[in-house]
Amino acid sequence: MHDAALDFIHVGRNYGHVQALRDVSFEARKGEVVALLGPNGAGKSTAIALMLGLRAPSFGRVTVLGEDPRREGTRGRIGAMLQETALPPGVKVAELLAFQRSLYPRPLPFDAVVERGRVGDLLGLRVERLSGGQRRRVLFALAVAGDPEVLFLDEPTAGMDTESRAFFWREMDELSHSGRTILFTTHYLEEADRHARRILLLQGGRLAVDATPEQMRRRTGESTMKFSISPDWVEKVAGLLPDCRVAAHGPRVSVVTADAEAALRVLFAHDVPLHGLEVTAGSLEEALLQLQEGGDDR
Amino acid sequence: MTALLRLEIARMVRNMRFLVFTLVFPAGFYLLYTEMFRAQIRLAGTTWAGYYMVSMAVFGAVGAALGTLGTRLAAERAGGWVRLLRASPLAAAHYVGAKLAAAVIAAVPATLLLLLLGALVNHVALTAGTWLGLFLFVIAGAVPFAALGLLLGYLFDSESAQAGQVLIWLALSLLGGLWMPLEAMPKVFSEIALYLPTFRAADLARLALGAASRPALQDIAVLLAYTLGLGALAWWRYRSDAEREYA
Ligand SMILES: Nc1ncnc2c1ncn2[C@@H]1O[C@H](COP(=O)(O)OP(=O)(O)OP(=O)(O)O)[C@@H](O)[C@H]1O
Ligand SMILES: [Mg+2]
Repeated sequence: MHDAALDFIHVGRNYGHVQALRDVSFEARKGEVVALLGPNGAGKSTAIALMLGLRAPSFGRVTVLGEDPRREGTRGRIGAMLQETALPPGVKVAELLAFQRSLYPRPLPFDAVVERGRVGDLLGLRVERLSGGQRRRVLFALAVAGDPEVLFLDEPTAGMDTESRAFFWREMDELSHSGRTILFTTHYLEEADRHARRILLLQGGRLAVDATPEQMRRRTGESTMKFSISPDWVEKVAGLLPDCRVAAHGPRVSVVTADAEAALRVLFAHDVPLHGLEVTAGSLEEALLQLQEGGDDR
Repeated sequence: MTALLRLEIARMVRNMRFLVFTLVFPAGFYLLYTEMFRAQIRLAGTTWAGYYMVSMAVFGAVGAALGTLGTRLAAERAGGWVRLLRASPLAAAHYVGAKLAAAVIAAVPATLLLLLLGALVNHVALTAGTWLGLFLFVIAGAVPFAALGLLLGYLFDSESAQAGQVLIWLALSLLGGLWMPLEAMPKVFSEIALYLPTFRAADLARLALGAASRPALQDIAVLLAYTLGLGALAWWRYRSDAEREYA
């Protein structure tokens, strides 16, 4: 109990008649990296609002670092990047970072904030002139400016380009190695797979899964093959593999199968011109989809 | 709190669009009407140029104090900036305090400009102490309007805030006798004006000219009552906003 960074005890939250969260309980230890997943409207942002003290739970109890997040003292130890934030127009990035640092009892040095957020090239810009991805970078810099023990990130990489995203995750991994507790939401499952040590799946406001990424992947007992192929082959591939689920994402085709070796033998026997083949045991995406389909009629 | 105030002032300086209105209109009216009626109007204890200088300084100061908060606050609430601040350790009282202080400071340019026009163009002659007193009274009179701006920022959404605030600015100014002296308006308006902060702010400022029509304590009491009443309403809205959709 003592080193619980986050604790939900039978938490519910209603908005009028909408039950955004229902009886959610979990505990995250200090230093854990948690991915909060779930379809649109599942209650992810609501859960974060409760942990930030922005809203009060309708039922149950939420504590962060053992305390009520609505206390100012607690808020000095946490940092947040919200799903959507329009920064106040007319302010330059450097001013905003300096301001944010001034709010916290033990902020990071200014230069460290700039480096963490990779915003060195943006310092002189007014916030209203930032692009969407640049704004996300500034928001991340704001979130870490107070050197928080716990970080909440609501879809942090939405709108970032590949390079920013890679840099962002390097920073996150570093923060986690230095003992920070991190909770993030994302709709990019490979991010959860790679960077989280724990996955919480919300569905219709309920906590449907609490597991490690490996446990999740193994749930299906299936593997996923991905390869590239010209579009006119997709249907033929699907015809050759009646027992597999075949889906095309642009030029990439993914095949989910109980027996990858058998499926490959069929494809090679028919000289299917595929390239860039990868095979992974289990798939987080598949596991989630199965859970979500099952979740609807539960 | 000072950090937020600095931020607000930097924004104000960079985004003068609305503040320019609070300079151009009062200055324009002042020069026009003192030129037109210079000879005709005689007022108790002061000249028309001095009297109208105060009216227009208050008009500008009120517009600036109101306009700095309403629209901007409504937009900040809708955009989520206020949410992010709420998640930070910034105390609510400091947030509100800095916003109010910035709005009062926004009243300075219009006030200074009108006093300068009075002195330099219309040769209003006062002692240095009187100028200073006049300036401080006008600024003090802007305080209840900062509180009103705060309240509007919480009542309106970002689209309606701009129109709402301009309308209220103009209506309060007209009814408070800032555009033309109450003596020149139907009698019922003089009675209404007694209850309006615009009239009281101008009357208080005219104390410095020795031309107040009401006891200063009464002016101060009305302005204070408005400040506290509007401030309390805004505070209440701020607290209940936390549980509303776009907190
Ligand atoms: N302020 C609000 N007032 C009323 N209903 C709300 C409010 N905020 C959220 N909801 C509802 O609560 C549910 C959960 O919303 P929430 O924003 O937590 O979802 P989410 O998991 O973050 O979704 P997304 O992936 O789209 O960001 C939804 O049904 C939503 O319509
Ligand atoms: Mg969300």
